[in-house]
Formats: sequence, C-alpha cells, structure tokens
Amino acid sequence: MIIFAHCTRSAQKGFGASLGRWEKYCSHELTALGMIVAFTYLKRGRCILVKNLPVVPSAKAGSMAENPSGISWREQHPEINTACNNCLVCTLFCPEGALVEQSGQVSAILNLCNGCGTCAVECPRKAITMVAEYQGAPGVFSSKGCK
Amino acid sequence: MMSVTLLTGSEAAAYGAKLARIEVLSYYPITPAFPAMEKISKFIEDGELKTEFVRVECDHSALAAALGASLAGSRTFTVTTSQGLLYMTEVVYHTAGLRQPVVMAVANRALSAPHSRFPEHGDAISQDASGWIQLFCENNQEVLDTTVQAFKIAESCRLPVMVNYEGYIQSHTLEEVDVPEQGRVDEFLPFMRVSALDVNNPQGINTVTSPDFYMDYKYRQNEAMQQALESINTVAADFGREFGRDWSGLIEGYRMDDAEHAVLTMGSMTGNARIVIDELRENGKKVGLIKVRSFRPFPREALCKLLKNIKLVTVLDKNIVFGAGGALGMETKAALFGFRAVPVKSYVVGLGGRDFGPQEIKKVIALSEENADRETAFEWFGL
Repeated sequence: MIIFAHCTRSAQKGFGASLGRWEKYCSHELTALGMIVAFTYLKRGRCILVKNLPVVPSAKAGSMAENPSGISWREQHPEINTACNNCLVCTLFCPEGALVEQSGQVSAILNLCNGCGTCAVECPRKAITMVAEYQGAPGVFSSKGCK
Repeated sequence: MMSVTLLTGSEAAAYGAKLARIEVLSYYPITPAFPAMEKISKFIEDGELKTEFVRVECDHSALAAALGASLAGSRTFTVTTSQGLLYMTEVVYHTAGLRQPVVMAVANRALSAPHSRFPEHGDAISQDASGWIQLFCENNQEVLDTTVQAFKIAESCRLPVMVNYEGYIQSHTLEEVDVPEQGRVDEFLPFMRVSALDVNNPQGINTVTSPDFYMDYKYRQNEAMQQALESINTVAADFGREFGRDWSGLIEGYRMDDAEHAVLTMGSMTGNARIVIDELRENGKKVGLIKVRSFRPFPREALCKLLKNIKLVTVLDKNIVFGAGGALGMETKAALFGFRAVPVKSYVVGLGGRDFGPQEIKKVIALSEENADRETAFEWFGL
C-alpha cells in the first residue's frame, strides 16, 4: 500500500463531503488490491486532487450489467427543475430513452442515461441542467506539491 | 563462499530468474534471447526449479500469459528481443498500466528493416515511454545480479522491469560469473505476493475508464516511477551489502574526480570505455566515465550532480531516434537545460552490430574534444 497523505483536516472533510455522489456512481470500486490515497496539497492552501482508485485499474464484476448505459462513461446527468411543464420534447430527443413521463411528471432514469446533454439543449423552457458526476476538486496536478 | 562459473549473458539471466524462484515462465523463442529459455527449461527438467513453463504461439501471447500469471499473484519472467519486443508492445503498455511486477530480460538487437540480428539498443529505446523500468547491464555478472534486483524493485514499486543486455556481445559471450547461494538470495528477495485476481471477489481488470479517472491513473503510474528512482538505489545498495557487488543503482561515475570531460555510456560499451578512460587518465587527461544504468526512470538529478563541474560532455548512443538523435544524448541535454550550459556532443555509434570497441571509443573521445565548439544536434560515428 502506498499512501502519500498531505492534507489539512478541513480539506479532508471537504473531500469526504464531495465524494458522496461520486462514490455512488463510480464503477471503479475500491478494491482489496491495495489502495492509493493521494491527497495533493498546493501552496495556495487548496486541496487540489483527491481521488481514491485501486492500484490495478479494475471494477467490481457486474458493473456494466448493473448500468446498461455505462455509467462509468458518464460525466454528467440531467436534473429537471420546476420550470418543466411536461411538454415531452426531451423524451423525443433522448437517444437512450432515459427520459420518461411517470404519473404526470417527466423524470430521468439514470441507469439508462449516458450523460450526452441533448435534453438540456433541446428543452424549450431551459428546465434541465446537467450536473457533473464527479463533484471533487478539478484535476490539476503538480508533482512537486505531492511529496 | 564464491561459486564462480563461466556463463553467457542469457545464462546469467536464467540463473538470476532461477535464484528468484520464478513461478511462471512464458516464452516464445527468438534469437539471440533463446538460450535463457533453454537454460530455464533445463533447470525445470532437472528438477532444480519448480516453474510453470507456458509455451505460446507468439511474443504478444508470451507477455500476455506473463501478465495474466502476474495478476494471479505469481512471480513471472519472460525473455525477448528486437522484433519480439515490438510485437509485445501492446501488452508492454498493459503490464505497466496494470502495475504488474513482471520482469523481462531483453537481449538488445537491432530493429528491422533492413533485417538485422546484431546488437544495439534500438529495441529497448522504442519502449521508453511504456512505463517499464529499464536497466542496462555492463557485463554478465551484472545481468545476473540485476535480474535478482529487478524482482525486488518491481515488487516494491508495483512496476514491470526490463533487464537489458546486448545480443551476442553479452548474450553469447562467456564470462566469469559468481552465482550466489540460493539461501542468501531467498533472504534478500522474499515473496511480496499481491494477487489482483480473487475468485471470492471477482473484478473486471482493465475496464473502460472515463476521462474522469484515466489521467489520475496515469498520474499515479508516474508517481510510482518517481518512487522507483529511490527504490533502484536502495535495492542496489542492499544487494551490495549482502553480496559484495555494488552496481551503484541508477548511475555510476567512474574516475569522475576532477574530471573535465565526461563520457556517457549504457550497456556493454561501458566495460570498454573503462579501459579507455584508464589509459587516458594514465596519460594525464582529465576524462571520466558515467554509466547510466537506469534509463527509465531517468536519473536527472543524479546526472546533474555528476556533471556539476564538467566542461565537455560526450554521449555515446547505440540507438537512433530518427529526426531527433541518440536517446541518451537527448535526455542528457534535457537534464542539463536550466541547470548549466555545457557543450554536449552526442554521437550515434555501433548500430546493428557495427564494431565499437576501445579503439573506436578513443577516437570518438578525441573527435569530441576537437569539435567541442561546433554545435550540432548529434553526429554519426563510424560510417
């Protein structure tokens, strides 16, 4: 196991909070192969990159079957807000059939969504926003700052 | 107790693998690497080594089988050269990306076309971006010792290692080699088994990775390579203490005290260069030798330290990166850039088995001193 941890308590806390959503969708499950925890810490005091990944690039068996549209590929997903009047335009454009009307309200089946964002572009009322899957800090690397 | 015997470079690699108690050997025969396979299969036949020998249909499969065996947690070894290494290339990158400690002996041979079976470093240099640790050996004793060390480096950094020695010049030449006792090697090299495959916890290995994660994996791979800079030195020092032979880790300075002119070499040239440097020193010339043992990771800091007071650098490359120059020459210039301005004369020599012995080394050193002021990207010697 290789651990290079260099992070303040508050930064770790922030990391934990932002990891919640990412963990939910990530097919790169933490494994028993040995895990690298990399906390990089730059001079301006911001925790830049924190991702937990196995040493050997791998995913839990069955990840693809569980997520037919390949959630490991998706970088964003739609969120529908109150401006929606159920006009169903989005359901016509969605290439995966992920947007459906259920009991009078359009909603997204995230297991099918591939994150293309066509719905958000086509929505006449701008009622759909695309939300990034990975909510952590942006991936900016500095090999000097990581010792 | 010393047990000195006459061994070729390939046999030395085989003895190294045997001492490391390899569990899987997968191999496809190719000249001039095949004697290593012959020797290991003899060990297996004689009951001296308990190893699963996987006979495959090509070099690509050879490394693929080695990779699979390594993922299952076994200590794995293979041997190749030249076209075989190129054929493996896809799996070479897989092995590094999947962080498997496979050790591969490479009997360096020129690349086709035109077809050649003679020595140079072109095959190894073609894989310099692959993420493998690349160590170059000077003589057959170093081939054996480096093979043993390679497993320790590989397993501690979770990175594959290439042990390079030149075809024929080393692979088919007998030299006195001290074969250490098995018990001492066992002590030096305990098994550090990390199995990626587990029947109770099935995993998809090498799954499709989104832009969210690919770069992070690569970042960590590079971090491991940085860690190898320390590991190679530590393992070499430990080996030196245990077996009395210190191969000085990443890089070695020979007669570099008060030297004004430094000559850089890799592989078998180094032995010849030592003779020439000794002779020049006797004649009062302030020339020193730098042997680059680890080409990947490249020991930038250690090299700059050795070149701190040098007035002229001559780099000898048994390889050519077309349109750019000798690989070691380019690395040396890149290392020195921003450190200090010093003329670097880069020579491409001895390609495809062209003679490059002590006489030629002497000539190229004189030529470099004569033309020290003439700026060129690189020059050819011995056409």
